[in-house]
Amino acid sequence: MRNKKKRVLIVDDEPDVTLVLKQVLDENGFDADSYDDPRLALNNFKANMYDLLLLDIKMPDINGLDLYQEMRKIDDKVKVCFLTASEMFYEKFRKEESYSKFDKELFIAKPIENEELLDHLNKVINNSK
Amino acid sequence: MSSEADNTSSTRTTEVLYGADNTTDKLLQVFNKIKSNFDACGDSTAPSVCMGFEPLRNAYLDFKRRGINVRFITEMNASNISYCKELMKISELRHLDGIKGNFGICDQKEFVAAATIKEQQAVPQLIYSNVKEIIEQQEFIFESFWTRAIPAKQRIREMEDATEPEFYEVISDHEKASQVLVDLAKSVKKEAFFLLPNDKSMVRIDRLGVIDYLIKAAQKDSIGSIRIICPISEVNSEIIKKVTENAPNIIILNGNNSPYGMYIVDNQRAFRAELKEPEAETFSEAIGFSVYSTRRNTVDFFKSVFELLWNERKLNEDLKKAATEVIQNPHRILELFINMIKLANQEILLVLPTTNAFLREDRVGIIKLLNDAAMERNLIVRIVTPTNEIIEKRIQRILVSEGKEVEEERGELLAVQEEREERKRKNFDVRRIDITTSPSEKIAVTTVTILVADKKESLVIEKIDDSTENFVEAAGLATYSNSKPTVMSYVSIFEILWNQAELYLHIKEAHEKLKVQDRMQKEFINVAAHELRTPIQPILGLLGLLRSKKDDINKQDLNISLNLLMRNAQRLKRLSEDILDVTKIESQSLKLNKELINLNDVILNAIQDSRNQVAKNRGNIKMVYKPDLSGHGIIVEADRNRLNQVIYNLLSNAIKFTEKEGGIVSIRTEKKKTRDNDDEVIVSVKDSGPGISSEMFPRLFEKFASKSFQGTGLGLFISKNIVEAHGGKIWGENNIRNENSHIANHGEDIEEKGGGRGACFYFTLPIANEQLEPKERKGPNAEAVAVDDL
Repeated sequence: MRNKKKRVLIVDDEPDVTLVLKQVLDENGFDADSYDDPRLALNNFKANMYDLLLLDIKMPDINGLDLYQEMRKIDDKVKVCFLTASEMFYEKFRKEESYSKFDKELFIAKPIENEELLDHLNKVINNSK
Repeated sequence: MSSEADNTSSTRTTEVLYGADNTTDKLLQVFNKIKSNFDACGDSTAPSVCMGFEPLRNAYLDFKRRGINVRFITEMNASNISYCKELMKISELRHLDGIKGNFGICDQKEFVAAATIKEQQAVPQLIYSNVKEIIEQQEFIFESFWTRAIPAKQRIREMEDATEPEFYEVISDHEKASQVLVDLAKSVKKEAFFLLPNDKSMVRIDRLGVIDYLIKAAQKDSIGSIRIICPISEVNSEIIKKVTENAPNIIILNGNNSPYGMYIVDNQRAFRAELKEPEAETFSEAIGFSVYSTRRNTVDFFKSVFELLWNERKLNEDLKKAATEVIQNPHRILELFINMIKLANQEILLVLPTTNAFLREDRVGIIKLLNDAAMERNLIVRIVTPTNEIIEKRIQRILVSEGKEVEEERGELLAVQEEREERKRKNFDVRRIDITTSPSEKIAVTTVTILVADKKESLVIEKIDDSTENFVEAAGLATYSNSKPTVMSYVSIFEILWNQAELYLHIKEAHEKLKVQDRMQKEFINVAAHELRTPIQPILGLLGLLRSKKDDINKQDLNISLNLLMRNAQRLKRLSEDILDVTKIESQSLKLNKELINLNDVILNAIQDSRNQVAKNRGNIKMVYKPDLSGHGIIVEADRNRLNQVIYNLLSNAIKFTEKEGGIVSIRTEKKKTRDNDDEVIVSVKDSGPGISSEMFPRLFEKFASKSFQGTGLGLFISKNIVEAHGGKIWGENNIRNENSHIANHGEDIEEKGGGRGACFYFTLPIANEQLEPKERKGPNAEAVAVDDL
């Protein structure tokens, strides 16, 4: 084993999206868990379980950003990537003060092809180490 | 009798009789003998003796009966006028001023005379004569009096006019002229018109006391009008001040210098004096010849000259007054402001330069005054002002509630209130000019307050300090004008601003509408983009995976993968169709291919389509169809595909929100009459799901209203537009368990296994009253109740 597999948590309210993304990551050297219910994901979340959170933004009940804030309270080292199909949200986040700390690189526009997604995730995981 | 009289006259005697009885007897004796003429003359007491002393009175009345010609001369005055009027009935009466002596001549034969007489009493001493010479002398005297005397009627007219006898007198004695003027001024009862030749002339007549007499006259209650035309200058300003202070009812107009002074009093006497020495100190030194007259013609002429001059001067004065006046005293400005509003009787126009100006004017009560003017005096009040939140609130309060409280207290009827509100709407109008969005305050909005009352007066107030709350502190110079060109130019400035404000309002509204539309459009694009992108992600991801391991896929995985791909591709298809429909609806290019169709067929097709959805869910949802049984199949004129789309959409929503196990979705049709007595069908689709949340309710038929993350959120929006394009209506309700609901829970005996009360969607369609060709009738007949257990 060269490296320990990077653990990724996928949360998206679209079951087909989580299903496919989990497969893609699992088959490409990641160890991924997926939830299509963000509340359930939060309830099951524990510190040091994941290296990276791959979160949808527009979800019922709790949006991706709030979910991330909650999870950071539990694990203050976990990294994040937001995967969103919404332009409006994407632009809005960067404008708002509270989210200005998020780097532009942390936002991924949906839909994205597998290679591109994997590159992006690797970059984010390796970046701040 | 007559022969006896003849005998008496033939004996020529002159005698004196004493004692009332004797004189009376004698007089009556003489009077009785008169056959044709009696000429009498007496002082002002005589009429009372003739007509007031009974025996003589009877004798005089007897003259009339006997047809005796009586001529009578006396001095008629106020105290004997009633006797004179009686005398006039039996005699030809004439008046002669200051007549003395009492005598009478009978038939040119006998003469009687009384030295002294007393009112209503018998003559104490009588002279009698029938001596021819004496009679002839007396006859001559009588005739000469007679010709000088004036007819009684004329005298009466003079007396009734209270006029002195007319005269026209040229006075060369300046002292006398002065006295005439003083007497005139003293005698003023009703009116006095004075034309003074120069400014100093007022000083001169004041020195004579004339002005003081006029003031005294003006202070009497009975006074009519006192008018003076006089050149006004420093020389006479003190006197004018005295007049205006003590007798403000004396009107003084500024006049030009003239070569004479003219004084007309009580429409009876006129006095005119040439001005010889304009700078002289006294009246008598200043004048040349003068004329004093009571002649009607003269007085009338002088008066008309005065009136002409007066009107000309007045016009001049008004024109001068019409010139613009600059006011510096801010208290006076405020007073004028308020007065103009209070005195206006048709219309008030007001332009306010800033929001602070509005607040300042409100603080001093001007807005309230304007409101009163509109409501109590029925004036039209129009205001152009910039506004802010506070002012808008204030305006709203004026427009809605002010005055209402009073009504409520009085308990006035609703109709009265409505009338007041109508009046308010009609009379009180405010338009806004928003300076904050104007490119430049200086250009866009006037920097002054403009008030125009009745299109006759204008008041324009500069502001020197807009920051203060105090009107008086903020006011700078003000210009008042009642000159027509000036006022009308302010009116047109007002109208321009008024129209501009309206235009601005329209533009602002249009702009707001566009902004909303633009925002909604952007939002639609965002959501649509999100919805379109989302299904692509699993397709893209899965295809990538499949490609990388295409030789190493087991059958089961492939099947799952294909299903997932299909699902998402179908979702994309649905979305793209829906978005295309929305675009068509919004660009108003949704076309319907209407034909006569059997509603039953369409519903059955839609049920068939939605079966697939239920099957996919792998649930156990019961679907029930209850068609209207009141007649043959329901025929509607509609676009078959679009109608199918609506019904499928409602069914599919119902299925989506109904629990998979034991849920019931039912659809029914029911014929109804509309209010206009047209036939319509109500199609209702009911589910047993959780019902519509109160949060969703108002947005049900909006785009992307759906909370379902599986749907496009466009279905109900599209359905609503399709139904409305067919002339129908669509709405949704939550089911209520009791029987009073709009259409009580579909099936009387359907158990609500799901527990939730569920929702029901209704739509109506007009029923076409035509019959279909028999071959068009297909599908189950009307009696069929299709129940699908799935």
